Parts: sequence; structure tokens; C-alpha cells
Amino acid sequence: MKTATFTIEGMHCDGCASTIKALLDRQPGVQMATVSFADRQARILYDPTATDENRLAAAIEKPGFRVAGPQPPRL
Amino acid sequence: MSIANIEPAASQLWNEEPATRPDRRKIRARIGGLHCSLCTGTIEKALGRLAGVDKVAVSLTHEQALVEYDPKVVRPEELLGTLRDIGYTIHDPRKLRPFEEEERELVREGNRFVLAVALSVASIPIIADPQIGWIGFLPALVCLSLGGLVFLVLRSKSLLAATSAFGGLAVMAGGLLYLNFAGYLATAAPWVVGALALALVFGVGRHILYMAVQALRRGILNQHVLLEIGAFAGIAGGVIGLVLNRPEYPTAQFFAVSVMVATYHIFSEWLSLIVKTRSSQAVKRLLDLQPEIARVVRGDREVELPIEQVGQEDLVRVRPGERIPVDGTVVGGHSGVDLSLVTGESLPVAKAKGDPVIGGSINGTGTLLVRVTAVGEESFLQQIVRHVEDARALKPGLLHLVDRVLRVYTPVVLAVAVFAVIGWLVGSWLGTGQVDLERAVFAGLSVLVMGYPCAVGISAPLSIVRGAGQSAERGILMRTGEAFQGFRLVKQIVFDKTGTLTEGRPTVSEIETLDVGKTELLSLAAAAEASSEHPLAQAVVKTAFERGAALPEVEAFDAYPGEGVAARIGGKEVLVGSPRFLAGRGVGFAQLQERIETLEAAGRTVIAVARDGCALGLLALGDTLRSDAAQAVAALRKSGLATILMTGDNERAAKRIAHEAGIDDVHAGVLPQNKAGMIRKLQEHSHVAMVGDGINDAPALMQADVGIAMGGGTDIAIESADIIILSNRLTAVPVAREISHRSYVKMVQNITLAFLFNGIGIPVAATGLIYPVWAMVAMAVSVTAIFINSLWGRPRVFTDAIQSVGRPVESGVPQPA
Repeated sequence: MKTATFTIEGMHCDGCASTIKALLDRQPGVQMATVSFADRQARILYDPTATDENRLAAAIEKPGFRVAGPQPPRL
Repeated sequence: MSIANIEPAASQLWNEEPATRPDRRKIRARIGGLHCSLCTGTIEKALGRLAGVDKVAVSLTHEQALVEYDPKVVRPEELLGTLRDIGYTIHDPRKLRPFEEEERELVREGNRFVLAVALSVASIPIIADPQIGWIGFLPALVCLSLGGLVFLVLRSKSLLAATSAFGGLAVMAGGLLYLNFAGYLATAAPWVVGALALALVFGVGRHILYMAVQALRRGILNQHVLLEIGAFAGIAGGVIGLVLNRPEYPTAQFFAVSVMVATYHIFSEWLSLIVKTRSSQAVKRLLDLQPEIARVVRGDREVELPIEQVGQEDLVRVRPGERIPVDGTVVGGHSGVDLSLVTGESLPVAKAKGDPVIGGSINGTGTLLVRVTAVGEESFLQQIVRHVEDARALKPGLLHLVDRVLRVYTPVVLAVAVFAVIGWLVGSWLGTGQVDLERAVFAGLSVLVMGYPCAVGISAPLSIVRGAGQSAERGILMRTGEAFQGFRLVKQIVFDKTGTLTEGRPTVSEIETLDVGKTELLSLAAAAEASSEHPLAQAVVKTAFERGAALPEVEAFDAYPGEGVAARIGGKEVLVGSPRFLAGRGVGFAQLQERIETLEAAGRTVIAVARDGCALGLLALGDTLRSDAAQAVAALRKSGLATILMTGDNERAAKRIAHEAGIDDVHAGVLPQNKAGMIRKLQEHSHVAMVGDGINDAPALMQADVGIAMGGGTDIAIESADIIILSNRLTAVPVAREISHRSYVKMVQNITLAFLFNGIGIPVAATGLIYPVWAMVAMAVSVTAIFINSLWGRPRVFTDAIQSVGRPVESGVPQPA
């Protein structure tokens, strides 16, 4: 299991954050995801054999949000 | 077999509309998950980008999308699929229909009220008579207030409609007043007002006449009957006046009173309907409106079918995180299944080939292939629905306070009227030797006209409007009469455990460590357990994730089902599992043994962690009590309620939670079908309130005198409840009780005020010496008094309620302060 952290541009409100979370939860290989509008971040716990960061980023960008590059996981 | 069956699930999810071009098609789909107006732009862009899509219009307030497309290039299923791909959901239009019909009816009744007001505003200036003094102008006040109400009502349509209506009414009123004072109406007045009265009673208000007749047939004297008595008395008085044709006889006034009482009655009916519809719409926000679809495996294809079309012996595939749609037996795959909403068990249960599953439970992280065993009426969920309906049918229902008062009041009014007539007949005969029939009839009719307690019809809805507004601010939805009147009578309150008193899902509650930091222990365990599908392992992973712990890389991994896992992390062998599992592999527990025993005695499940053969620490998992549970229980006990815990979970876990929350009485292991029965037993002693959230709680919620559902609960629990806690905080329960009590007090005050004026007015009317215009004055004053009493300090609650008609309820749930 790996954790990916993305900064997301283009969220307008908490609603957008929950939409993105719903979207991520449905992606294959994603075990858990939290998306924060306040922090403009998404943290995703995923199975690296089932998906990768590029695919996750693509899923987030499909509705039109932008992923401003992954960040090193917080400790 | 109709064509619709070929693509069954899809065709129910959108409506075809006429397109602007013959080679294009247009569909309307109901969308969920729209949060703000910017979401509409997102959807419009995403759909607009698809090849073949010409036009997209998304409405936030109506929660729908209209798409015009070229059917040769793209299909509706692809459009809906795209919607889902960007994170939104589709609503089943069938589930939405009852709410839409309700809203339409509300608008219709609002229009009816506006019409009635127009007739009232026409009649008042006609009867205004400055000769009887300034009192004659009091109805003008009424005129103004009615005009104001119309303005509010139409404001939601458009400012233009509202101002032109108000302006129109003002012009009409002014014009009629002028005609009146200038003397033009002298002879025409009674006929005009008479026509207005007939139009109102038999036209605009004929549904009330219908209801009154129905009630009379069954021997019930309710407010509708009372209204018609008053209105007919007014009409009778007016007709007599036309026949006698004497100048001092207040013919027009009699007719005008009919108009006014009918108008007020229509208003109170409409206000009650607003209250009912608003709470229903608020419930709609909480329900899962998505269509119920199952993924049926046919050969090597998977077809999405609506649940009604799934047959016994069909194979259904359930993906991770989805709700299991049907009752069945697992024939492939394995996963942990969350049964908390269905049976109340707090820890997920591992399901594998041969195990039964219940529709409504939630799948964990594995994929399951299920063979359907029960469908439709036979399924577990449908049986629960039947129990709920049975309980609903048997529920006696609190007789509304107003109806109870009317049962006494109405016969009294009739008696006084008869008395007045007889009194005048006898009195006049004794006094002058001649029977003054006219005066007697006049007195009788005056009593009947004064007898309509127009403020009474408004007092209950007004106090409910205020109460509902106050509770909505605190994140509470009070739906029914029982919520407002019945909660104060409750002496026992029963709590469901899982999901109500507790968070509902297992979390790591305690971490015991030897030599390592708690976070390190957690991340180590989580990393090792991450690939395990065991439900408890998932709980560990989730807790670590939520706390932001970073999971170290796992180099190798071995799972021992039912016992634990062994992983290689950072070159060292890490063991995570039950203490027995670790002991069996040579890990010593001496220092932790006592802790393990204490934790297990407290009902926790203990997971031990070891690295390179040395014990590192323990993780205790359990369903934790909500942070505000103890506080809420204490508050309820202080108000004198006996608290009881009732759950389908095991006794040990139940007792522990009860102890932590401060509840004395515990009933554990209660099967879903027995919960309602337990409530019935408790009801033998006193009124019972029940707090729950799951499918298994629904019959009990309906059976209880007051059912309280947590906002995050299942649809059926929410629909069975009288009160819904939107904020999902238990401390809202004592608050709800407080509001219920205060609303009841307010209702009693209103009713007292209402009857006070009538109480004085009726005997005075019995003397036969006052004109009907005094009835109108009494009406005006009592209604004003009640408005002031109900809305004092909170006028917005009322204006908001009126203005919301015709406008869909705002997105999102009101957040508590």
C-alpha cells in the first residue's frame, strides 16, 4: 500500500472535495481517500499493483480540476 | 414484453423531451451531488466535450440536466456514464415523484389562497362604514395584512408578480372604498358581497365544504365543520337581509364575514400544508435517491438491472464498498461485510463461499459473487418494511390538541346559538307579547358567525412553524405532530447501540506500547495489515490513514486467515495479529498480559504487534462511544427520563457501552424482528421514545410514541421517525425535547388566546345587539395576537416558510450553530 498526496487546484467548495473523494473511492485499487477543500489536498491510500499516481491524477482531472504535482507524504 | 425491458435500468433514469431538431434527441436526467452553482459549470463542460452533444443545460435548483444530442453519435447511457465518471450520481425519478407532487400541490393551494384574499380585499372596502366609528376601519388592517401575505407568497415567483398583485389589490380596494363612500354602492353592495361569498364558499373553498361534509357524515365536528357553520350562517344572515330589504340590516356585513372566515380557514390549511411539505422535502435531502441496481452476471457479461428484475438464482457481483443489493449466498470471493445497519453488529463479519448475506449490508474491500436466494416481498428488507407499515397502521396517533378542544367547543357554540334563539323568542314574547323572530334569528346567526375560532386553525401551524424553524437551526427535523406534542409525555427513552450511541464502525481505541511511539506502532501495524482483507485489519489501516501516519514499505507479506499476518518491513519480521497467534510464534507477552485481559474483559478485540520476536505493543479495537453520548444521556436523565439500551450486538459489548454512557437498563442480542415487540412491552408502563439509525431499528422507531432517527441512518429508519437528528449529534436529543416542550406551551398559549376572544365574543353576540362586523374585529384582533405571540422575536421563520413555496429546498443540510 502506498500513500499519495496531491495538491488540487480548482475546487470551489467543500462540495467539490466530496465529489472528488467519491470519484477516488470508485477507482480500482484505491483503498481510502480523504480530500480537504481547506488544505486543497487529497491523500490517497492505494494498491500500487492495481493503479498508480498517474492514473489517480487523471481521474481527478477528468471533471476539470488540476493536480499541481504530487508532494512528499507528511510524516 | 415491452421495448422498455430490453434496456431496462437505463430507460427509467431519464425522460425524453422533444428536441429542437428532428435529427436530435433530448433527455432530462435528475442529478445528485450538486453542491454549488460552480458544479453546474463543471458538468456542462464535461458533457459538452463529448462528441455528438449539442447543448447542455444544468440547473442547480432543480437538480437536473437537459442534454440535446445526436443519437447517431452518442447514447444516453454514455452521457450518464460520463456524469458518474466525474463524480456525480443519478437520481431515480420514481423516487422523486412523490416529492414533486407535494410541491406542486403546495403551489396550487398557494394560488387558491391568493384568490381568496382577492375576494376578501374586495369585500372589505365595500362594507366599510365610517358611521359606526373608527372600529369600522379595523378590518382595513386585516386587508393590509392579507395584502402583505399575498406579496410574500408571490415574491417567490417574482418581485414583479408580487408588486403588481399588491398594487392591483390596493387599487381595487381604494376604488371600491371610493365608490362606497361616494354612495354608488348603496344598493349594489349586498349583492356584490353576496356573490363574492358564494364564489368563495362554493368555489374557491369547495374542498373545505367537501371535507366538512365527510366529517359530518361520520359524526365528527372538526374545524372544517365549524367553518362551514360560520360561513353558512353568514350567508343565511345575508340572504335574510336581502329578503327583508331593510336599510339598517347589516346584509353586506353578514356576507363579508363569510368571505373572511373562509379566507382565514384557507390560509390556515395552507400553512399546515407548508409545514408538512417542508419537513417532507427536508427528509428527501437525506434519502438515497439513487436507483437500486444490481450487477447481474449472465454468462461472461455483466448487466445492470433494477432490483425488481433480479430473479432468484441469479448471480450478482458486488464490488468493494457497495451496498449488497439482494439477499443471497456467497458463491465466490470473500470480504468483510458491515452488518451494522441491518442487524446492529458493530464489527464486520467475514463472509466467504457458502455464507449468507443480507441485502442492505455494506461490502468491505473484497469482491463478492452472490447467488440470490430471496427477492421482492420475501427479502429481509421488504419484511422490515412490512413490519413498519403494520406498526404504522396500529399506531393510535395523538389526537391533535386543537381537535380535542373542538370536540368540546363546537357543541357549546351550537348550544349557545340555539339558546340565544330560544332566549330571544321567549324573552320577546314575555316582554312585548310578540315573538321577535327576526331578532332571534339574528342573534343565533351572530353567535354562529362569531363562533368560528379562526385563530385556532392558525395557532397550531404557527407554533409548529416557529418550533420547526428553531429546531432546524439546531440541526433537528421535527416531522410529525407526535414530535411536537408527544415528546414531552415520554418517560422512557430507548437507545440503539451501533451507530447511535457509538460511532458505528470499529476503530482503534487504545494503543499500548513498549519502547516505541504510538504512531510508529500504528503505522507498522497498518502497513503490515494493508493487504489483508480482514475487516479488523481494515479498521487499523483506516485509523492510521486518518491520523496521517505514513506507512512504511512492505517487502514481503503472508496472511494467516483468522489469526494474523507476517510481513517483512525494513528488513525485520513484523507480526500482527491476535495475542494467541503471536504467542504461537514464540513472542513473549509477560508485561502486556494483564493489559490484554483488562481490554478483552472490557469488550475490546486486541491485536498484538511484534518485531523480530519482541512484543512491541497492543492495538485495542472496538466500537467507540460517541463523544457527546454521556452528556446527552445525563441531560435526559436529569429531565426525568429512564434510559434504556437495546441492541442486536452481544451482551458484553452492550454492557460496556451502557456503562460508559451512563445507561442502567441493557437489552442485548435483540433480533431485529423483536425490537418493536420490546418497545410495545415498555409502552405498557409509559410513553416511549426510541433513538436509532439502522434498518433493524425501523419497526421499533415506528412503534415508539416518538421515533428519533440519526441523520446518517438508513432511508427506512429516517422515514419511520418522527424526529430526525440532522446534525448527527446525540446532544440534539435533549434539545429536541426542550423545543418540543416549548412549542407545546406556545400552542396552548395560542389556543387560549384564540378562544379568549371568541369566549368573550360569543355571549356578546348572543344578545343579538351587535353587528357582524364585530365578529370580523374579533377575528382580526385574535389572529394578530396569535401572530405576535408565535413569531415574537423570530418573524423570519414565518416569512421564510411562505417564501419557500414553489422554490425547491436549498441544497445541503443546515449546519448547527
